Amino acid sequence: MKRSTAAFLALALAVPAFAEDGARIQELERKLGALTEEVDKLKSGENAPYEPKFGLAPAAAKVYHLKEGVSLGGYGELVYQDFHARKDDGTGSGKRRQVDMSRFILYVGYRFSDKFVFNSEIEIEHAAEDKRGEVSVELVTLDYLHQPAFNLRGGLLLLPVGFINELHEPPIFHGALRPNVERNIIPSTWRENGVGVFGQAGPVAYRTYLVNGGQAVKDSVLGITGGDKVKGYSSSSGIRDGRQKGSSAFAEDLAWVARLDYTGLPGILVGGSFYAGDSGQNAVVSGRTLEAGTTLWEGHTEYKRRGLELRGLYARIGLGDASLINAAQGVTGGSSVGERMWGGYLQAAYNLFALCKTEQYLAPFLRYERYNTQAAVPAGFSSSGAYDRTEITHGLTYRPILNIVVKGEFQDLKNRAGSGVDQWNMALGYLF
Amino acid sequence: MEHGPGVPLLIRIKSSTFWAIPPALAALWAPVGAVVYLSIEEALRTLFPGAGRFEERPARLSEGQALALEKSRRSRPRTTEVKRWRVWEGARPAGWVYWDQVTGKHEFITYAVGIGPDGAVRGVEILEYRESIGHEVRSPKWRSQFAGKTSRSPMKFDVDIRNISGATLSCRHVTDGVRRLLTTHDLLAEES
Repeated sequence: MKRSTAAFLALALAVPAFAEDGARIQELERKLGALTEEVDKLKSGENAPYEPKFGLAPAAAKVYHLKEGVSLGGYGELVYQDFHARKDDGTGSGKRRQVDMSRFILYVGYRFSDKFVFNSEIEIEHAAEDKRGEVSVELVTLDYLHQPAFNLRGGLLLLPVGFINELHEPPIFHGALRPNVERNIIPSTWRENGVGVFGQAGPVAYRTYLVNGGQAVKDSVLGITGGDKVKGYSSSSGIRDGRQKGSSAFAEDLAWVARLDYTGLPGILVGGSFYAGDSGQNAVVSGRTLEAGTTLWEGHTEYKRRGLELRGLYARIGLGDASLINAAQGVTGGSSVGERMWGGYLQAAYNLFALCKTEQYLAPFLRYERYNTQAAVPAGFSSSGAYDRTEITHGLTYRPILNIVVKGEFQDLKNRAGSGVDQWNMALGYLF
Repeated sequence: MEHGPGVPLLIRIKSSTFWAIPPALAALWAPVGAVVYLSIEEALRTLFPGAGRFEERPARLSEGQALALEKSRRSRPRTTEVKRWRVWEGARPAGWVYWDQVTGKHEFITYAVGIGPDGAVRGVEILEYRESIGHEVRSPKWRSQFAGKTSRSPMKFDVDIRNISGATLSCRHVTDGVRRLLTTHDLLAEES
């Protein structure tokens, strides 16, 4: 009797306990299920793809794919250049072979919230500052993300012009060296301080910024001593050396830049950009205040389908006060800056592995470039012919994985003066 | 059927418990803009309108299979549990439907893939989408690109799959998901 009473009591106590356990187990199972999903999400977050965003290259755009917190990225390239012993006209080229850790870059981004994003790019060019290198900040942005079609941005900005200026991470462009049209006509990497608006509405993306203008004349003309750190416009590189790169930039003259891209047709990108602003920065030359109005417009298109990649770009620059700039720069005759400059290129590549399942990428490419930084010069000056250039580059781009690239190319570099020196280059690059 | 006692709850799905999970998750994280477009029953019917019967046939990947799946690039399996239905037209097997989830940008996209007896995709249906942007993956035109794809198709962006600008992450992840399911389908077929 006693035994059965005990058994009964035990059972009576246990039943509610079992019921309670059942509920607890159910609750635990629910939590476990939820956690599994959360972990899955985190895992797939780690796996976030490298995708360009808001005009930034894959590694640079990392912070935009985060929900919150710090992002770290980077890219780099080692470039070997070997030159022909002779110029096209048969005289000695006098160039030495060179191998350069040409860029080492770190991106640090911080996502404060879904609305506020900080992004930056720290660049070491040519490895050592006490040798031939330089350290610079290439990009510092604070974004307010309002909605896809309307966002605000301020800081040291990459001007949204052409392909390479914003998308210059080595694995995503063909060639050991960047296309010369996007160095000497569009002065990549072109960055200045400013504020602006950007966004995307369906297949249309735009960016428009107000930035400090360029500096058409060398520092000493503006009364700055200690060597011409900013050299001003030139015959060979156009407006390239007039970039102020965000470094105590003169802002007497401002510039406006805008870009529009359309991606509504399968595999096709069509777009253009426009830059306009004075670059005199109140320099006084021959008793006149220099305006040096600079306008650049550019159109670009890209087609990608079934492994075939085609790219085309055309850009023109118009420059005011060219003869005043020449006077300030102290150049004469054939060394005049161009009143008009233009350049364009066509490029074709085909990924031999496109239709295979492998992620490896091996693409022969061919690029034809034509540009002239002295298409027109002011009266009293002449075009030297050395800056009227035709360049053919052919090579290979190999990516064992998405983020690593080995490139090799041969460049036939011609100009009308016959002083072109052919070269071949190799590069090893990465992004993460 | 294949389920032993050690199988985690999430996948030991009876349709009833299974459909309690999305609302439970919704309650946990309160994702914004969640929209349920199709129930799985509706998706099954849409993918195989002529089917007579859908037989729930969940499966579990062995360690070897999961490893094989991970090795085939960009195909990291989220779980070893596979939710799928065998499609019958009368007594004739007419294909399979796989249910899956991928992360869009931050939230899950729930989708289903119909696969014919030849191993080729019949269609892709988006069941549920939780992000505030990127809904364009639902576009029938975009989804129709998957028709006929097999585990041997490259399924790469700008090669045989088009991207939709503004919805890149969703497009990429759904593409990755479909590729993974096709490989999964092959692995499970080898087994039987």
